[in-house]
Amino acid sequence: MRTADKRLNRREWLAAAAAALGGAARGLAAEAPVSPVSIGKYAGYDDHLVEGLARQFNQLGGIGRLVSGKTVAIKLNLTGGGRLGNYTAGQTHWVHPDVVGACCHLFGRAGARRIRLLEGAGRGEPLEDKMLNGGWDVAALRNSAPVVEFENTNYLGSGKRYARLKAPRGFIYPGFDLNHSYEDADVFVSLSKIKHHEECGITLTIKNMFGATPNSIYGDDAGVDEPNENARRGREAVLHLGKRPPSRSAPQEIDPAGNRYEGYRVPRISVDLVAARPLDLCILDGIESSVGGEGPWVKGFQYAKPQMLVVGWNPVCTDTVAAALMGYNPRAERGQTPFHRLTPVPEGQPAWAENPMLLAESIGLGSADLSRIEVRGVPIQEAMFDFESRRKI
Amino acid sequence: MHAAGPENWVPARWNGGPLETARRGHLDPSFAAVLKDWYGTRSLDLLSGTPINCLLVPWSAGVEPKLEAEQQRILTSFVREAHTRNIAVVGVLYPAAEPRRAAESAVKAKLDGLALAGEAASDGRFLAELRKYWGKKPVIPLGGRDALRAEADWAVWATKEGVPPRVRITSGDGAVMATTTSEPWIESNTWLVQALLAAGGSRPAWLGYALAEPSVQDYVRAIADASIAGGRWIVSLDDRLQAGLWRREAQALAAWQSISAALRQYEEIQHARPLRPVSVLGIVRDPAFPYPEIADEYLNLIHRRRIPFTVIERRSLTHGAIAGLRAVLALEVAPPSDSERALLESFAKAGGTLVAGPSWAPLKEGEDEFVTAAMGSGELILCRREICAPEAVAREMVDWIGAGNLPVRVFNAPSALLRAWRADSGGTVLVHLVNYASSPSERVTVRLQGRFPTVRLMRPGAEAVNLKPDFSGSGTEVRVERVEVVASLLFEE
Repeated sequence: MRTADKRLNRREWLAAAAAALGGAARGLAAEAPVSPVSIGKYAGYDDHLVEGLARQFNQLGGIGRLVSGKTVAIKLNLTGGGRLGNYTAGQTHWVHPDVVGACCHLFGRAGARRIRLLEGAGRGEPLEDKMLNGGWDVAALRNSAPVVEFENTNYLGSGKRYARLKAPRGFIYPGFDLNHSYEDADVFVSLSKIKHHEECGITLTIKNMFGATPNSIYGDDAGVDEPNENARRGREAVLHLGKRPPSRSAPQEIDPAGNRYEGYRVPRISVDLVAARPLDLCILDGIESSVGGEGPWVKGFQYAKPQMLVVGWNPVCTDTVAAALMGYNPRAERGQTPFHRLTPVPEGQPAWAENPMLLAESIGLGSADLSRIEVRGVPIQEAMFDFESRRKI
Repeated sequence: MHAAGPENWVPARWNGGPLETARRGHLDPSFAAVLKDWYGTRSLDLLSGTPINCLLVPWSAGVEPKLEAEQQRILTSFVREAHTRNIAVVGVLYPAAEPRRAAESAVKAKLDGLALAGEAASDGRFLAELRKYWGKKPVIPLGGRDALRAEADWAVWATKEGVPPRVRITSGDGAVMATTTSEPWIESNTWLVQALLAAGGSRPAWLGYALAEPSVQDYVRAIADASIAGGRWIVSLDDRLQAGLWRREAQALAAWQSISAALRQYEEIQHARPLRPVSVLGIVRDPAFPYPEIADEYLNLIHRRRIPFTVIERRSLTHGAIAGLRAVLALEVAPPSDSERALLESFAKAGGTLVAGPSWAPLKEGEDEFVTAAMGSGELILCRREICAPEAVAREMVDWIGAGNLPVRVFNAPSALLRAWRADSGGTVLVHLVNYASSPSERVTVRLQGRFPTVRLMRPGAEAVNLKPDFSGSGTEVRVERVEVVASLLFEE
């Protein structure tokens, strides 16, 4: 069941922006930090990606001061496995390896001391193996900057203990225990795909953080008292549905009796994670992507080619611009398009999802008010790609 | 005997003559004309330059005696000509054949062997009668696998069983769909060849299934699917290809060249040298295990998980058979004898993983399908049920062994399976890849434990190319940009 709403076309977007300029944003939203966002258009991954991304970084003021001499951690978005027909995962639901390589190269060129690529992978599986399974040239990636490392953050990995990161003004959790790499980094970058999400509507920077949680603590077979380094299952029971708590060694829910609905929980937990581990740079890969879900296991999942790359300092601002680029109202309320389940649910069951940008804005993480965000590079109107009209379900 | 012995025969069905026409019933007149004249130098000339050196021809089907006599008359001169070209000829007897008459005529025609099709292979009386007049000369079963029990002296451990190797199509538009496990459903016979080779001892293993309306790629895949396990698929021409070859049509000749190239590749790099399989797991098979379909599924599904394994017949379960393995699947050792128990326990205590059934030890009530206990430096994993679900065993086996402990791995090739062999002399490892999908596998990475500075990529009909190995991960990695149907990698120290 879906609350009646409609997506924005170009004309409506302009009207919405004008209304916002007229003073619609108030309270915390008006006080939330803003920072510029750059939009780039690319014909494909072979369309001068390094030069284009460098130009986008420069449009934001450059990355030299941010990364020079620093350890840079990049949270990638390599959701699940599988592939759609003959498309690679990077063409549909994973970030594309060429974008990762371009980022590493540019960070290295700007003086980054060390780059560490982070994402969850299977038990006992190095992150590199997951990448190889996606057809990535890991050796090339390793050579794209002076020091490139890889960490499977679903487990303890190369650390001795999990890092305790507190989430100020947390919605669901007051903090998280994460792989040490999230704490070790001087600079933290999210590199995510611009795509739909079955339960939450869209996946952008904020949702990408959901995957930072280790299965050992937040997986369905996480340890009861301590992390289970042999855990293999996903995060349905603990995070999506709150049917069981994370390992007792980790921070527990603020309100264990609170709402258990995943459309309520997943966006809030994602925002909590952004609060717990603030991002310094957000990159969204929409050069090639998909509509209809976060991966090929979702019915209705299809290839799409939006031809865009979005870069910003602030996750909320970056996602706000990206949502508008997808043709959506970034300030849509829960249940309004796109913030609802994409696949049908049985009659009487809820289908709504919260808007994570508004949640993040409400605790001061960034502004979701498009009228306050300076867009650099290609104007939104020229880069828009209507995701909703391409969905088939 | 020609073309050495059965162990070196590279077989093809070579159907023709009046018997084949009668057996087939209604035939397109133009194809009937091809069959009628098939047995002559024109068809033998096709074999020039190919590794095929053994032809299976219809010899007797118990039809009208005059027609059979005519078939055998034609074939007698064909056999003479084939022998001058060092090609063996095996006569196929169908169930209605009369064994004494068929054997006597085969002796007279100097056939090199007889093959028993269908139920003839499992008919003990048929076989006994045949042996009286054919003696100990080669007899090859071409029936179901149950026929293999009919005698121990088969020249080849062969069966008509097998599936056309392919990825099973799961969507209406013919595309291979992704699944939540990201693995398409692969139909392969490689596990079956391994089982046949283990059961047959040192004898060769052949698969005699036919392909329906095959493409060239289907032929190549069928050859590769059996060859990478050390067996052979009996090349079986479809009517269109046979007629095209007879007429020397360009398209048919090009297809024939591809088929020959695939055969040649495996004959040269797989069958021509002493190799032993690279294995991490031993699967113990007992012919008396009461659930043979389940036993087959252990092999089939574990192969599909790309876990290199060796099949060990229960009667051959010795220290030597399991030396060097990381795990042993002994679900069919039920119950174990004292000596089997001692052997397998010592394997586990020395650091191995032993997977056994409930007859190994009593288990407390519980819901877990598997119960794990330490055993010395290794572990014992007991399945709670007598029929342990093959899918669960295959799935868990990757974890029990540890993906990092697999000696060879392939990445980004969900529609491909592999088989690796080590040269007896050491220092060389051969890794075969077969892509079961109709579209190529691209950007495939193969990782082999150990350091191998030289890696050569071999594909049928193409020059071998050197690949640049990468040692920055664990072991030696090479990237193969494209695998159309088959590829073999030779890693050399």
